[in-house]
Amino acid sequence: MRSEPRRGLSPAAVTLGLGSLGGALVLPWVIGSGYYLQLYTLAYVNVILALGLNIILGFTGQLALAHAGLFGVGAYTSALLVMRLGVSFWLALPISAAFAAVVGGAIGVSSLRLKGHYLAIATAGFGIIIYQIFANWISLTRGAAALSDIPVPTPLIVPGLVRITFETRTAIYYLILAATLLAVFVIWRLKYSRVGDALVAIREDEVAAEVIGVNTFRYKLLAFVLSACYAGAAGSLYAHYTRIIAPEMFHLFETVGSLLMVVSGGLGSIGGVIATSIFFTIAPEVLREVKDYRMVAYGALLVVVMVFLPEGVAGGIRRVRRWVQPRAKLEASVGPA
Amino acid sequence: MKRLGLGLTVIAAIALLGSAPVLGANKIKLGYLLPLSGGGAEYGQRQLRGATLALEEVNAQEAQTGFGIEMTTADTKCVPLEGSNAAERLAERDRVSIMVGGSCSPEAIAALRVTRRLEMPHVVPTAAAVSITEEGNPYVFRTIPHNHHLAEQLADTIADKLKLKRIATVYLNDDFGIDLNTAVTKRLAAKGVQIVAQEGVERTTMDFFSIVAKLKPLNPQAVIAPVFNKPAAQLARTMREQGMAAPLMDTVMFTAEFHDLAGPAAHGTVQNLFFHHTTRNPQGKTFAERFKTKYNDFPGNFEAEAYDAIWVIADALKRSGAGKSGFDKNAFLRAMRETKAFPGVMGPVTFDAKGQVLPAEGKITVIHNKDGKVEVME
Amino acid sequence: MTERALVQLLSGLVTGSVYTVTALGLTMVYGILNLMNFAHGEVFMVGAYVGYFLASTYGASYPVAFLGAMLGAVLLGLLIEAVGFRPLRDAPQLAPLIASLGISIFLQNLALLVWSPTPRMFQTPYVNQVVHLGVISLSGQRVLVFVVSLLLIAALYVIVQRTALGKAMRATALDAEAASLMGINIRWVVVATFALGSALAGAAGALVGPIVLLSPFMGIPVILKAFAVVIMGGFGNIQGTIVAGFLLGIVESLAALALPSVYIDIIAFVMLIGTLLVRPTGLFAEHLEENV
Repeated sequence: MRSEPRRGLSPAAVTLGLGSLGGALVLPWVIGSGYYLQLYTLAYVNVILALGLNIILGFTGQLALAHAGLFGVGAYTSALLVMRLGVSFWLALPISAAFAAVVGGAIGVSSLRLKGHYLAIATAGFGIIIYQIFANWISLTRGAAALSDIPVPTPLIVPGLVRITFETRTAIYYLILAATLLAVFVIWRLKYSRVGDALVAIREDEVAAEVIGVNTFRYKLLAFVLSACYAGAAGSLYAHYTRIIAPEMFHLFETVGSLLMVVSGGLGSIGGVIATSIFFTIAPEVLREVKDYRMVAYGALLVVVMVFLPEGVAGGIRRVRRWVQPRAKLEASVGPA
Repeated sequence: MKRLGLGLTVIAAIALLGSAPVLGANKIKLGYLLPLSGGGAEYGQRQLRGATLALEEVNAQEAQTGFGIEMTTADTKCVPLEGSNAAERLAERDRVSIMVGGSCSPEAIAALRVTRRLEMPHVVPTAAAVSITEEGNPYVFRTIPHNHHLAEQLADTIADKLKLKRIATVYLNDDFGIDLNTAVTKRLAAKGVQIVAQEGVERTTMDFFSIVAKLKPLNPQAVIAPVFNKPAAQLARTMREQGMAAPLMDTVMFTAEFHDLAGPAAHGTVQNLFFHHTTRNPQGKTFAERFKTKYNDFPGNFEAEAYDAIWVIADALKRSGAGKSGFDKNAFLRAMRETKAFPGVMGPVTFDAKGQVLPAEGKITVIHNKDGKVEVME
Repeated sequence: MTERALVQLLSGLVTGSVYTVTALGLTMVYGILNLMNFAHGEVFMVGAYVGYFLASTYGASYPVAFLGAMLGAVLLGLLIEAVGFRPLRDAPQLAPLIASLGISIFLQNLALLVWSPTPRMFQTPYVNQVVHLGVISLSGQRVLVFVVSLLLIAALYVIVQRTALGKAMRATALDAEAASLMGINIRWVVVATFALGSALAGAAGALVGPIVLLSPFMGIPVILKAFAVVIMGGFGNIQGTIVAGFLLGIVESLAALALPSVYIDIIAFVMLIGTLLVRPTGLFAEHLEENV
């Protein structure tokens, strides 16, 4: 079973990665702590969300459309735990991620035996039901009136050593950056592990994978649960960052944003998805005048990407590299046919 | 000869300088939260026109007063989340000093949380939920009477003037609607009027078939339905379709759009307004004329609300010395609180200790759609 | 109380007929291409708007507006097929699915920009007409919706069962390769199916438009309910879709007697998920279809 080159990181990719990391670390110094820092913080949340979708869609090839709903499960669970039960954010975050994973598991167990569009519609249906619960269980979520004044994370204290408070935008920026780096690390390890290989095998040819002994249902469920966990964690971070959440943020159509980020970044790619997630968060804000055209553009881009660049940005770069690299070197790196 | 010429030149120069726009007139930045898209877009567009007219007039006096107002708008879609985000954007990105708006009560309440945290003065021109001025926010001012005053007026009209005995209510399931419905039904009950049904609906509800089917056998003489224009028109049409003749009653939600969309189904509707273009109030008449000249259309409730809000702010800015030293938050807040009987187009403006405008005489008009013609019932 | 139930039942028949007409268009395309078209709801929406503009801006009579709506819908459907489905014929199943989702989003928001979010009221002479059926009264428009829908369903049935085109469609649905070997031009069958399906959606839009208010997002609840009907009826199963469509309409309307309106929409999804879990090939399927 031939897989992609191990640790397939070219020197260019490493430089780009480290450069971006450096840039991210010093960003608050460069652009201050105002509106644009908030945008970047939001972009990192979208990165975590998109990477989560990447696990089930990109690696495993299953179009699961409940992602925005699971994002909401994480957000509401975390906010309500902190506000109604006085739980600390640092506990609420993992609990929310876990709860979202459980909900994802329940959805997965019910739906993952279905294929293709059946799965898409079933998960979409679940996503809508989750949304309706948010919107109509008013005593719990305040419905459309929005849940606001969600507290920021409580200070992180290491006795005698350090005390970090999260009252400022800058502090929260670093917190979310750290969470994003963790998320990237985990998915990176997943991609180059045997589990990751199994998932890709399922995506490429599910029947063949089944034949060679991969328990496709179990692996699909694992991928779905993991992606739900990412969505839940992103939700918790998001809730305590924006401090106001409402059901419309977790509607089925919000999944389209993440979908676009994954598809245009490249199904299964990490760097590509990170780049497109950040791009699609920042660009609509910077190009304020064209904000009205945002959703029109998203729809059109989905079609364009599917037709012309189905491997996304990452695939496009790979193609460019193959075109630029002389043939001899190519054969040497890939090995004898 | 030469000296005369020089003297004339000097005099001309001085005259020119004096009539030129005052360089460095203090520009006060104001942010206006409006629903410019979505179901409440009508309300936002109307307010925008009223506010723009007011701004023109205020800024025309720039040379005398020493300050001008620069308005930036943000679209809130009448949704609390957007209202909150828009308020943040106006405050952080556009750096406004005064916030105006939140048309719908839930949206206004969400925006107020932001401005309260930022300690920014916030004027609410159209949202009527009582809680807005009852939460101890020292920075908020509301330039219209709130739900309880509206409820009282409507209840009086229904029970005393129209002498109706059986009423049903259809209300929005949000801070505004629930608040209003409770107030109205309580006052009606106190006057011996029977409430046969109370139906809560969502803002997005457009299909009233089942609701009407439920109301019809209960035979109400009127249906109080303070919802947005389009759902109200749908409700009216569905009622006629199923053979219900009862008219609709409203507080301040219906604009001309409702009457247009509902057509004959709107006949008999009774509603509260803060402003009607046939008003006898002298400021109101002037406003109506100027508005007609500029926009070739009659101003209604929402235009007047926005217009008054801007003017009240301008007046307070003047008294707070903005012309000389620019925007001083505390001076401005003090000046706002000290506003006494400011001649607004909707009536005199005086604030109580909570920032709520006192409902003075003639502040609420009742109008009646009699077969397509509007009749003012005082 | 029985008067209320009767009114709801009649209303259910009307809504059911709309669900059926829309779902039929969807299930036909699935039968041929094995693909769900997410953008079908927008064909419905555009049909409603085209009818509205013909009637209001150009003063066309309602029958003309109705036919114009169907025509507009067909054109749009063909465009969607050409842009979103044809280029992705050989791509993995995921691709056209995502592409049709993208087209759906694109069309909704384009309509939002071009036609503004202000809901429009589509006036026809039948909306204000009241038809009395004993103690119950309904608007003429609702009765018209029911009658025309039945006619459309009957017409579709005739086309599929009695014409050469219908035969070709059925053959292609059964086995595309064999059909093409027998000389059937698959390309034409696909185009014709899309055209027919879109015509149905457009007709539904022009029928329902006057009852509700037109908005760019009016296709969303419709497509979701249509999916539910298609799944309950069995993908590609015309008879099943007809039964399921009316069933859903009636269940929803009767449920409105007991439940608050917000829960009515969930019924369709609960039924949908239930069907997927218990009998994914549809409640009325005679033979088991392959689920891959």
